[in-house]
Amino acid sequence: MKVRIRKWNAVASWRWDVPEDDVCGICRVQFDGTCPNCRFPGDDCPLLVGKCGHSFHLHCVNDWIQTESSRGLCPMCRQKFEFVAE
Amino acid sequence: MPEKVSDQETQSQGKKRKQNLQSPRPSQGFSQRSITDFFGDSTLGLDVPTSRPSSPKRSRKNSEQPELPKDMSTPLNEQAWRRISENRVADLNGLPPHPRDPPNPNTNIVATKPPRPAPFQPHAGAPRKLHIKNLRKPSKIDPDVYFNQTWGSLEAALAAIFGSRKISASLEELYRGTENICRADRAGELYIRLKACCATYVGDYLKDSIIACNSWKDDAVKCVVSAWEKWNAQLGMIRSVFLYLDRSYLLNNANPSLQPVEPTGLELFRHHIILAQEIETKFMDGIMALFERDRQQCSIDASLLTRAVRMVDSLDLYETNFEPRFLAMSREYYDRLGILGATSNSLAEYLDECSQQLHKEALRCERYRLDPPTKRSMGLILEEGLLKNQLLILTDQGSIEDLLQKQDHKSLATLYSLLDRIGEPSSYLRLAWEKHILTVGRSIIEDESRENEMVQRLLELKDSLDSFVRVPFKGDDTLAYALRESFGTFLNARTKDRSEMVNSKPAEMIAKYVDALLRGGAKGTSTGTPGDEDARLAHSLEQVLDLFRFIQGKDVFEAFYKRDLARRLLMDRSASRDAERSMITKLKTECGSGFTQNLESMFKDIEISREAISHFKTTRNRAGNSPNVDLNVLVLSQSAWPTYDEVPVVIPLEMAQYLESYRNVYCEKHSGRKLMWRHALSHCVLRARFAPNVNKELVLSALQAVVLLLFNDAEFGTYLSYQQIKGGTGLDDKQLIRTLQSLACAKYRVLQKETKGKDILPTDNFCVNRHFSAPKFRIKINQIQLKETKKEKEDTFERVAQDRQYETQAAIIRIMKSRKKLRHNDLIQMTIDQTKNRGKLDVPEIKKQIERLIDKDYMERLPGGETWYQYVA
Repeated sequence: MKVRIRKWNAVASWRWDVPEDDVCGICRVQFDGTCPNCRFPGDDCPLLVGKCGHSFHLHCVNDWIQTESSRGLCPMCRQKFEFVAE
Repeated sequence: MPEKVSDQETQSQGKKRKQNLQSPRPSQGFSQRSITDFFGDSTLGLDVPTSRPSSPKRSRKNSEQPELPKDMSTPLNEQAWRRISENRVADLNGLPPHPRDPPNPNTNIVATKPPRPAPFQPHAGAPRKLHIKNLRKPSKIDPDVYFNQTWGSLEAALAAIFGSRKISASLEELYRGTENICRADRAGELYIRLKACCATYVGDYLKDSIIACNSWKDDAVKCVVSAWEKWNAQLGMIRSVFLYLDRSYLLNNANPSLQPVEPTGLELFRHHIILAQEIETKFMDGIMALFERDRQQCSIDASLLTRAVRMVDSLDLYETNFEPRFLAMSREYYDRLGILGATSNSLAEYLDECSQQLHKEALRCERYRLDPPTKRSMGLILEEGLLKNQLLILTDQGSIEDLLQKQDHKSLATLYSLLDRIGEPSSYLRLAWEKHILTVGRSIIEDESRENEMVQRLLELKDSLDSFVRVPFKGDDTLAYALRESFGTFLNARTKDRSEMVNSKPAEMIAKYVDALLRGGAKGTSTGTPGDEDARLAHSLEQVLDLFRFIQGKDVFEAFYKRDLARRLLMDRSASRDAERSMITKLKTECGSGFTQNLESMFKDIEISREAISHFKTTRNRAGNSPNVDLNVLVLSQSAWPTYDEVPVVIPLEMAQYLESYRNVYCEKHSGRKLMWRHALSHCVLRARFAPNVNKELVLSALQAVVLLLFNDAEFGTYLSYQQIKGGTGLDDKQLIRTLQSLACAKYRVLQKETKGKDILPTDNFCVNRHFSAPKFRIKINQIQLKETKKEKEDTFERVAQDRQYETQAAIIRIMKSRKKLRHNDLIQMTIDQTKNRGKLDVPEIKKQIERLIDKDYMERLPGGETWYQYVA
């Protein structure tokens, strides 16, 4: 008996590459969930990974950076917040 | 010949002149011709004695010379002129000549005075005097004598008319006689005599003749009607004779006691005959009897009845004497008929009877020329007797349900239109209608043995109910509304065994039905031409959507739909991508975009994956180190798809490496993401050679493939033990047993089990089935699913229930956050409103969620009598 693979329809699922059960430091919601303003997780509510190692929901950290008191700092470690470019 | 004609003319003219002389004034209005024509035209059927010795000659002459009046005048003038030239005196004004002024026959110009000079004399000569002389002799007959004489002949004529004999005197003379009497101002007297004469005749002779009639006892109507018609004809004749009296004296008389001849005759008849006690009752009863017999469909003399009604009408007795009796009689008749019919027949028969009676009675009113008001009253009487009084029987729920059950459209249509006459039909029908829908609907839903046909049967039911509303019920709004209400009620009714949730069976079955449709395996749509498959599919989907609208547990439907859609997408089983999309669009318009967001992102994942794999392949091909496997990867975003258990499995090394390279490419492109393989969902195509000439292509799941690949290196006939396989694939017992079963114990047995039997034991050994053969080249080996679905279903329900809880909590929090403080009832109401798009919630469930949120310190109860909640920030 000889069996050869002709075609392989693989299925995979993706999730954010952060430890499971980790929560966004701003809204305290799991990264797999959405920020408070979104209803559907996934592409529509992406994460932003900071160079300082802190990740947030894009929408959450956006709101934060736009407030004047933030002075562009990471809310967790007070370093300048720069995100890792994709 | 002309000589002869003129001779006749002169002769007849002479006669005429003599007549003229008898009358005070020359006649002008009525020419001889018109009078004779009037008599001659009489079509009354009497023996009208129009013929006189001279009349044939005259009538012939008339036909030869139609312009008689002109011819008449010519000889007259000639004679007059002759006279004038003879007498030398012109008779211009018709006055009698002055006695002191006798005519002078000898001279035409008489000089009475000596000539005297005149101031103006255009023609010289003596002045002439013009004498005018009346040549007409005053009547010598005494007026009284003349009156009596004429009346004598008139009376004789009347007697002849009454006796239906020939009138001996000339009609023209009679007419002239009347005219002369009238001119002599004795019309009143004439009228009184005429009336008395007629009254004697009608009151005594005619009445007696009616009563003496042979058939008086049995057929009073006939006697009276024929007497009436006879009298009518005679009256016409009388009127013709007394026309001058009628026209000149009676017609314009303001005195109400002086009526024209005809009304007088009618009045006499009415007074002496119809209103006579002994005749009136019998006659009216006779008419009623005729009507009754007609209703009982006995044959009657319809024309007699028509004539009788017409007679009553022309005697002005219709409204006073006939109609009330007729209506009373009809009322009694139909009341009786209603009671009889309603109790002795089935509803359908009775309805038929009622509509027939209504129809027939309307026809009857037409046929016998009954007045429109009578017709209207008859309608009311019928409605009252047949419908209103029998309303209980008409609207008996059991019978109506029976009709609905039998799909008796005709009877129902009749019922509806009958009820429409007496009120709002829907108010009578509604209860039975709703009950019928609920009964039939429940029986379909609770019939577990035919669960698979449920949707089909529901669709059929809906169709038939719709047709009820459309045709027999004429699109009645209330009933259509009741249909929707009741349909929703039974579809969402709770069943006893699943008290936890709203009955979700219909939602589940509808989802399954849609799945079957979209996979293209629809049984119900196999009829019709194959050409318009898309249209048929769209139509079927539209129908199912109709059902879906009634479902309150839309979240249950979504869960099942999502699971089925996932399977279709992963296995590529969808019959038509367009149909899938249109279904999503329909759901979106039905339930809002939130409902379909996940479903849409599933489609999006498929699209993105397709792009990603082609990108991956181009880069790999450039690198030139791809194994000869057609790889396809679907990357799912976890939140949108149903959750799947992770199944540990060992993938063959070569394949694993290939997949790993894909994972790297993917992660390079999307940083911050992690890719996890879902091998349980993968499927693949294997080329297998069982014997040197037996090559087959196997379509199977990745797990099956992994098992088969273990046998790749083994010799034919070598057995691999269960434990060996387990070790080689890394599958757990549950999955492995399922996989081995599908390979060794199902329709296509690729593997051979050492011991016979359907069950897989941990001690079993397997080898490749060397004698494997199948008619087709490409073989699809299904996974064993049966046992799994039961659990899957439970899982789905569980998940739905859980989702519902979260959804409820989220809704409550959203409301509380915006309102801060809210009364208990308001909160419940608002929560239901917010979530009704996804599924209907129960109050106890909402209460439970409120409790839970209070426990979690999201909100708190305020102290006080009424229950107030406050949001805790």
